[in-house]
Amino acid sequence: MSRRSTFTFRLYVAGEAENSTQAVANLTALCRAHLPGRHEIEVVDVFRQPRRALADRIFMTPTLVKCAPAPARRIVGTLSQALTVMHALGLEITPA
Amino acid sequence: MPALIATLLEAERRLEELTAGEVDTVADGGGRTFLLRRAQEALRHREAAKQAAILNALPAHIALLDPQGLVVSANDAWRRFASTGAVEEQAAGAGVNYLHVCAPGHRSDSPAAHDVAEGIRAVLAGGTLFATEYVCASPTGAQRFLLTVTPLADDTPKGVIVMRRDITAERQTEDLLRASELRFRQMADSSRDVFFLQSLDSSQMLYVSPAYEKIWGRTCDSLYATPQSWADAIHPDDLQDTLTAFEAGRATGFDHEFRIVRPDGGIRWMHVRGFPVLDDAGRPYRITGVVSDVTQRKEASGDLRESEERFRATFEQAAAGMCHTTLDGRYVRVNQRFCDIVGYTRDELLARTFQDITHADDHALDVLANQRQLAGEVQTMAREKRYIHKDGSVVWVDLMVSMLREASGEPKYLIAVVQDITARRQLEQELLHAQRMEGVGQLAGGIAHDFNNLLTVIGGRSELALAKLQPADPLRRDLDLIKKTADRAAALTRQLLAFSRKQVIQRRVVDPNDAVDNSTNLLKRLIGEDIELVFLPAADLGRVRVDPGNFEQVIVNLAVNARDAMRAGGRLTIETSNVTLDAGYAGRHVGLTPGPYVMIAVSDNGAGMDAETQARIFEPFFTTKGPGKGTGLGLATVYGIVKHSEGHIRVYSEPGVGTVFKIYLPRTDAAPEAEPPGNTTAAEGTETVLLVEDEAEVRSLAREVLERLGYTLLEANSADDALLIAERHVGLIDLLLTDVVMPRMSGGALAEALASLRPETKILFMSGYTDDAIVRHGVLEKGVDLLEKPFSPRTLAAKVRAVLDRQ
Repeated sequence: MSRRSTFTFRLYVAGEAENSTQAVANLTALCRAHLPGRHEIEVVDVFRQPRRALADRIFMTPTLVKCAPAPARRIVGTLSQALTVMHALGLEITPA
Repeated sequence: MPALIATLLEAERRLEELTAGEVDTVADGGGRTFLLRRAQEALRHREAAKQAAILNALPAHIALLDPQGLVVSANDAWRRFASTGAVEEQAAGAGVNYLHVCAPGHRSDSPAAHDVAEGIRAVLAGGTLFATEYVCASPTGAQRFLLTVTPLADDTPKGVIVMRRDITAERQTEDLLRASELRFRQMADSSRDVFFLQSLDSSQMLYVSPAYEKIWGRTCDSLYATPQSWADAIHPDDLQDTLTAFEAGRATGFDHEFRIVRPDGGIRWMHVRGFPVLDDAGRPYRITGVVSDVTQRKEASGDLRESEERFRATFEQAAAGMCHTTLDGRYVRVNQRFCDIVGYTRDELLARTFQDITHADDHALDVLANQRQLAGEVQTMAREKRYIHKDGSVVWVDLMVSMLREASGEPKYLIAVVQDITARRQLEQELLHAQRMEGVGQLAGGIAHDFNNLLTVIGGRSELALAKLQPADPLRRDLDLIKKTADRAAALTRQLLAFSRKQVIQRRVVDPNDAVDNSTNLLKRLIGEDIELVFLPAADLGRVRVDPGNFEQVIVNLAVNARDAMRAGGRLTIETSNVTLDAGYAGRHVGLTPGPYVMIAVSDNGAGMDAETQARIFEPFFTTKGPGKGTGLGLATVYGIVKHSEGHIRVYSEPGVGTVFKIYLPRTDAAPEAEPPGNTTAAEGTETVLLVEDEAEVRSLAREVLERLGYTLLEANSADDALLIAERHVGLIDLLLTDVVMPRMSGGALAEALASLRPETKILFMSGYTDDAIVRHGVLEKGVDLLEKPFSPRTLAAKVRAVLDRQ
C-alpha cells in the first residue's frame, strides 16, 4: 500500500441532523491531521439526493464510504472514535 | 395500525440502542429516508436555540404577548430592562400581563402608557402595526423609547410582538444635527455674501445661500436648476477672464474680481474666492466659496487711486527735492530731484537714513530740530544744512521739515522739502569776502592817507638835507638811511592801498608779454640762482588795460611767493595766453563778466599748499611764514590789484607738487600806449603855482622845493583860502597844485570852481588816496594829472614841469 496515494471519501449525511454534522466535523479534522493534502471528501445529503443514496445502497446516516485507495470500506456513525476509524480505514498512525 | 406504529417505534428504539445513538436516519428500499426521533428532536432544539440566540442578541426589547396580553416569552434585553429597577417596568417580565402593566393610573407616564395599551389591543383586534414614542423616567436618566406592536405570523396562535427600542441617543444626535443645521442656515441665510458649494464633476450646484437672490437678482432655484446661470450675468468685458479664472482654479482655488449686470441693468463689482473641497483620498471633488459685493470699495478706491496718482505726480515731478522719512530717519520715499541733489539712486537712499548723508557738523542741529518737532513745539522747521554728496563734495541745502501726524496725534513721519543752495552760498561767501576786503580797504585807505603825508615830509626833508651836504659828510650816511627807510615805508603803504583798492591807478593799454619781459631782470634778482625762470609767451597775445606799476607788483609778489615755496630750488614758469570766460563760469563768481580775457599763469614746482591754506591765501595778514618774515600782504595785494583791474585770479595747488596762480585780465584790442617820455629837461621854472595843502609840513616841503627851483608860490591851507587868493591875485596863475582830500572842500571841487575863474590854470593833484572828485572807481579820468604821495622832491619837480609843459 503506497503511503502517498490520495484517499477519496464520500460521506452521506442527513441534512443538519446532529450526528451527521458531527460526522462531517470529525472527518474533516481527521483528514487534516493525518492526510494533509491527500484527501478528497464529498458530502452527499440524502434528503437532497435520495436516489443516489439508494443507488449506493445507503440505509443509515451518517455513513462514511472510503472509495480509494482499495479496498472500499463503510463506517456508520459519528466517527468520534478516531483510532477505531483510522484502523478501519487502514491508516497507520505516523508521527507527524 | 397502532400495532404497526408500536412495532416501528420499537424498531427505532432498538436501532438507536445498537448504534449507540449515532445514526440520524434510516432509509427504506424505496429510497425514503426517515429521521429518527432523537435526531428530530435535536434538530428542532437546535433551530429553536438559534432563533432564541438571534432574539437575545438584539438590543431591542422584544416580547411575545398572547391574545390576553400575557408575556409568553421575552428576549434577554426585555428581561434585563424589566429587572433594572425602573419602577414602572418592574413587573413586566415573562408571565406578567403587559396590558396590566400599562394600565392607566398605574404609572407616571400614564397618557403614553394608555396609548400603548390601546395600541396593543388594536393590533390584537386585527390591526397591522402600532408605533409610538414615549419618554420613560428611569434611575439612569430619562430615556426615550420607540415602541412598535406587530401581529404574529398566521400559523401560530395569535398574539403580538412588542418591540421597544431605546432611541435616546438617536434623538440626541438628531437634535444636535438639527441645531447644527440651524446654525449653518442662519449663517448662510443672514450673510450678505453668497455662499456656494458645487460639485466639480457634475457641476451641480449643491448649495447657494439666499443672498444670491438679492445680489444676482435671480432665484436660487434657477441656479439649482441651471448651475451655470450665474455666469449669464457677468459683464461682457469680464466674462472671458472670469471663466478662465474659474477653470484654472477648479482644483486649486481662485480669487477674482468681476462685474455683473443685474436684471435691472445695474452693475456691481463682485469679489469671489473659491476653495477646493477634498474627498477622503485627498482629491478635489467639490468647490466652495464666497462671493462679496465690493462695489462700494471699488468706487472708493477708484477715487483714492486717482488722488494717489495726483499726489504721486506732484511728488515725483516737483522741482524741489522731496522726501519722506520715518521718525528715526529712514528714507521711505524720495523723488528724483532729491536723488539728483545728493547724488544717490533711489534704492541707495531707501537703504539709508538722513543721518548717513548729513555732514558731521550738522548732526547736532538735526537732532535738536527733530526733538522740538516731536515734542510738538514747532510744526515746521526750516534751516540750512549740509549733505555729503555721493562723490564726497559738500552740498548746502535749504531744508524745510514738517511732521505728519496720525489722526490720533501720534507722530507718523517727516516730510522734507530740500533746495540746493550750494551755488547761492558760494556767491554769498564771495560777497562776504568782498565786503570784508572792502572794510579793510576803508581802514587801510584812511590810515594810508595820513601816513603818506608823513612819509612825504620824512622823505622830502631827508632829500633836501642830503642835497645840502657835502659828498663826504658823515651825516650823509644817516640821512641816506632815513631816506631809504622812508622809501620802503612808502612802498609798504602803496601795497596796502593797492590791495585795498584805495590806490589811484593810472591805466594804460599794455602788452602783457612786454610787461613781463621788462620785469625779467628784477625777477631774476629776486628769485636767486637756484631757481630757473621760464617764460612762455603766447603769440598774438591780446592787450590789457593795467597800471604798469601794479602789474609789475603782481608779478613780483607772485615770484617772491614762489621763491619762498622752493627753498631747495626749482622752476618758476610764467605763461601767457588768450582765453574766453563763458557765461557759466562768470556767473559763478562775483563781479566777473563773460568775454575775452588774457591769462597770465605763474607756476612753481615747490611745496604746494593744502586745501585749508588755499582757502585763506588772499586774506590780508595771513601768512604761513614765521613772525617777522612776511607781512602777509603780498597775495592780498595781488588779489586787490587784479580785482581792481576787473580781473580774476585762481589758485591751484597740490602739496608736494607745486602751485599755479592764474590771472585773468579783460582783453582789449587797442594799441599799446607808450610810456609818457621821462623827464630829461631840468625841472626849473618861473611860473606861478598856487599850492593848496592842509597838511602844514607837506605844504612847507613842497613850497621849499618849488621855490628853490625858481617858481613863484602862492600858498593856501584850504580850498576856501585858495579861492580867495585866486580871486585877488593879479596876474596869471599857471598851475594849481592841490591835495585832493581836504576838509570842507575837496581838491576836485576846488579845481572845478577855479576852472570857471581861471580857465587857463593847469591842474595837478596830489594824493595817494581815491576820492570821487577826481576818480571814478579809483581810475584816473583822462586829462587829470596826479602826483602820488608820498612823493620825492625830484618827482614833484618833474611832474610840475611836465604838466606846465603840456599844451
